[in-house]
Amino acid sequence: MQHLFELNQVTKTYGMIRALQQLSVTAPQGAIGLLGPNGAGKTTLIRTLLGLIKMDTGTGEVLGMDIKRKAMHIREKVGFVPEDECLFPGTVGIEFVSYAGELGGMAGSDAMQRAHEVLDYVGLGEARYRPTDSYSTGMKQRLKLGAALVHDPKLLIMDEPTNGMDPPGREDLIALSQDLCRNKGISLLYSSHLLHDVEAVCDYVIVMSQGKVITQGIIAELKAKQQQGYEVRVKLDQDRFRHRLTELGCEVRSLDEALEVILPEGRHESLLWELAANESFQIRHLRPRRSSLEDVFLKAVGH
Amino acid sequence: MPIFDQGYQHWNGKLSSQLWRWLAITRHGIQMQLRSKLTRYVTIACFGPALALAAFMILWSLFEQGNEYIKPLIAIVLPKELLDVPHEYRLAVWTLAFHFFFYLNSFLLMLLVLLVGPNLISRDIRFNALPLYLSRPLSRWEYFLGKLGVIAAFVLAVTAIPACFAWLLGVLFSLKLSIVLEVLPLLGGSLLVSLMMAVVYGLWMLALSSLSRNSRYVSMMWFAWWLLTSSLALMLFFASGFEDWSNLAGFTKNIQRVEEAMLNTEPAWQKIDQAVKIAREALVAKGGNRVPVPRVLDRRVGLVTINTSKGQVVRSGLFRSIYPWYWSAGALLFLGVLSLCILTFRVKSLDRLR
Repeated sequence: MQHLFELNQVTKTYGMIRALQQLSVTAPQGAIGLLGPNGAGKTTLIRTLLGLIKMDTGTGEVLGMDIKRKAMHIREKVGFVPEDECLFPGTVGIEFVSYAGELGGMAGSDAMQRAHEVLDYVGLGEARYRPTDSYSTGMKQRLKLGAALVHDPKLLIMDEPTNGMDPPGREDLIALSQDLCRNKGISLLYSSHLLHDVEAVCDYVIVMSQGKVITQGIIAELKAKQQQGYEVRVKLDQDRFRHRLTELGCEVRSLDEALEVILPEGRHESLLWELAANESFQIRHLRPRRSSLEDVFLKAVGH
Repeated sequence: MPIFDQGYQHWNGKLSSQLWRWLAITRHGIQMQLRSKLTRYVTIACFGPALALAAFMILWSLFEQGNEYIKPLIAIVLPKELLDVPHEYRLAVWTLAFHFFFYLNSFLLMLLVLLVGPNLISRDIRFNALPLYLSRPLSRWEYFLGKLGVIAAFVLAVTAIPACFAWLLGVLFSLKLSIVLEVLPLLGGSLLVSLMMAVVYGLWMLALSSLSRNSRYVSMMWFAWWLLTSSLALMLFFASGFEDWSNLAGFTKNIQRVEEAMLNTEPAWQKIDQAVKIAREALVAKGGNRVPVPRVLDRRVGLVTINTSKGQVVRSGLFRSIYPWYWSAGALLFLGVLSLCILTFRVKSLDRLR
């Protein structure tokens, strides 16, 4: 199957700042999360994919098209929801979306018809004739999403789409994003520093820091790597229990009232029960410590 | 909330050619500008010179055919020698009529562009709309072209279209299709002048529009630019001892000078000079020294005669210039390059850190 995008050894510098450093990444079709702290190079990566940036070195393809030679064709097939609050001034909602379609090369009548459809889809049907500058933050985000969808892109790039939104608005946007990639067959590149959002929307994640890809992979697999961890609380002699676990080769870390235990390779949770039975510890709490994506993220960026 | 009520349909339509995508910006810009009542009224008012030109073309054509109602009217302003053989002066008269049409428009357009242009880029900068444009299959140059198209559309609507219409009226009312070849260069010249005006006014207004996020300041800059350059040209004219190069400081004067060159007005003026000279000689012959020859017949029409210590010198007048046209063309070219530099500096591509 064709990759969604692929970058090879891409470097981009701005003066003394290296925004992308020998970056190589391959992303499959589907919903891709792009995670990283501020300044990690996420926006530069997105602009590179859109062909808006002249790479210093390296090559790349998006939807099988060469970034350097086919930038305009790529932008025809890609929808982009920018992070910033940006509007075509003086327009009402329906004009905004239809204008976006016309800029993408759609005929006026097609763009208008399509604008009505996507505004209904993103839940702005009632507000389509309202001036866009009277929209709330959440409405503006959905409007931008509508404008990015108007030409029916194969890939939708969303740059920090839930920034500044209230919780219900955020949930709506996440639900829309999920629907687009799971039911409508549109691939998604979802850039965010809100890990919950990425976990909710994406199947695959790319974690960036300082212009490099730190880790990437299927989210479920990245989480599974940490599944040897448990959260354990014993009655009374917790320090001795911790000491014994360390002797048995476990990696132990203190949490607030419990211990985080990572079992050695090949061992099972029965190790904990056996130890408790043999040495009269009372286990009051035992829970597999499933790593959230946040663990992966924080680990990847060195926290 | 009714999200997903309507579902999402895929779209399989065809996209237009890359070559014409900037037209969407122009079309949208025109629609936005026409929403303003003031812009609509001023645009209509700018058709005033066009109506006058069309009326003149009809009158002249009727006069050429010897219409007995028109002839006495025309006779008030034209020498008798010209009245006898009007067809010989056709091209000269048409050329000067078009020249005055564009001359008036060079002022009216300052006003029209003042209404149409200031918010074209400044509002996009204020509302941070540039990423929305540039993340679509549009280059920065296409963005500029689309915005320029908005001003050009208004300028061409009140110059090129009326000029073509008036030219056609002149041809049709003359009842001689054979004149087409004679007056065809005038049509080409008029289109060229209209285009030149659209580009010069458009580029400079866009450059100013990119300098501020507030379109009111842009309007002020435009007005101040007009006022200052015109005043400067006038001051230099007097300070330099009425030298022609002082005109180079005037924005509209430069446009008018290039317009004169494009319409090739000088031969037309010379033809009129010739008619005036014949009229003067006829007057002298008729009355000898007893009949005073009007002062206006002593001069070359449209120029200014100045008495200096070195004797009389002839300088460019309001409607007729005799200094090299390429001086003004150079000044306008410089302004065009400056405009493009300002635009590229102010409207940055997205190839940058935030």
